[in-house]
Amino acid sequence: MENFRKSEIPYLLVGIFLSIFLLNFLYQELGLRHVLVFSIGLALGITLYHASFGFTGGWRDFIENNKSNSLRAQIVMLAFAIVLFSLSIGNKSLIYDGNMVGAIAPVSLSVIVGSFIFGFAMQLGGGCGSGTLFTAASGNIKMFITLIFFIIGSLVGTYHFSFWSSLPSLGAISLLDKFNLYENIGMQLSFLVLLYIFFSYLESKRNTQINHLDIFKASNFNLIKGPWPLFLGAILLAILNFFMLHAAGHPWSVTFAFGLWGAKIANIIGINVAQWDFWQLSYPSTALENSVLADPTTVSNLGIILGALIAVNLAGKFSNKSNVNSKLFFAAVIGGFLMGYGARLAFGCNVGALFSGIASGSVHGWVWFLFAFIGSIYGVKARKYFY
Amino acid sequence: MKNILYCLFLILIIVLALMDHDNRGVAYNPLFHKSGDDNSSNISMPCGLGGSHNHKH
Repeated sequence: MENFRKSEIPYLLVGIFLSIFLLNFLYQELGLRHVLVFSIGLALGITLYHASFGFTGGWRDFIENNKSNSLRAQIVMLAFAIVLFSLSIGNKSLIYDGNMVGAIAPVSLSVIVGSFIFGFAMQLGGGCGSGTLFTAASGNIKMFITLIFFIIGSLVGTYHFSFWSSLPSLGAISLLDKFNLYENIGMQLSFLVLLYIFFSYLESKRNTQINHLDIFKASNFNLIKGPWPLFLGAILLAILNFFMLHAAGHPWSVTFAFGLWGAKIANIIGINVAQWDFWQLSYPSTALENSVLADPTTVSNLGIILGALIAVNLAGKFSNKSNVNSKLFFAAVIGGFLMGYGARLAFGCNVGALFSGIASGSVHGWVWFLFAFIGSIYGVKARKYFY
Repeated sequence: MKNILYCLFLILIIVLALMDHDNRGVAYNPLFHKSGDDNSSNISMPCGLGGSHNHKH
């Protein structure tokens, strides 16, 4: 296989062995649905890596160069997900005997502030929620630092939860509750079409011509070792989120697990986080008391990490970039911490709030998109001091 | 060498998760919904904050 380095076979085998071990462990200890969630996580990790599907770089490319291919791929992903989710939410799962719930959260001041902070910080940290996971897993030392401070920021965010949740809020607004199925799909798809036209117009204005087929192409496309076209990544991510909805009963989410991991570590070093308001809510308190492997978000995140590890070794690109100078280190620390904190305020990251929120018909997802994008504009400016 | 350390760190994380599993156990499996169990949707975790009632401020 071209460019496949034999030196990376042991690391590929580590990824495969750990995945098989966890699949068996989850099946024995927790059941088939955890196995499915982990398997979906593996597929997400491989897809994210091979399609290089990140929000941070794509948004930055548009802000700096008006290149809209990544944003257009994200719009395609959202469009597919909206249709798939609208037909599923509130109905019985295809996998278990129970109803599924969407990622519905309030439209509140905390979402506006949190998403702005997140959008700003992801440009400093160099990755969003999913991006940080798969790039850290593929051996990027800087992104590993970002991930550590993402976890710390998430934990601190849970400490301040009461304050932020007391700020003005319009409450949860679900378009699926307000409108019928066809109105919801039609309205959201129409808005996405307008966004597609808007982004394309801005690109064509600056770059004179735009190739709408660029998201279907990848140089040296290879199914096993990548890269994959953005379009393939977009469709697969929408389908995998749909499978996650049916397997877990809720859409794909990333950052809750970061707060949980931080809380577990804090408990080990003697900080009683169980007394904090956030950790007394029904699900967080249950998650804190239970095994960390019972938490489906943790299980899918582990799948993403191992999936990305497998993908990077299939691609022959596993390398720990250790040239992290002091500026990059501080960018990772500040970016990671603020992303974690912002995600808690905003009821999720680009995955849990933007992707899953919009797909679920929650207005907070659209608010998140707008203010995270504005935050990113400032983040791109601030990034120049660190990179 | 760095790649080996990275893999060892990854294994350590999974070992820690397994230790937590042994210590805490699974008193409640969030993905084990009984048929007709009304609480199942309340305690599921849609967007990072816990059940849907946690979102209604």
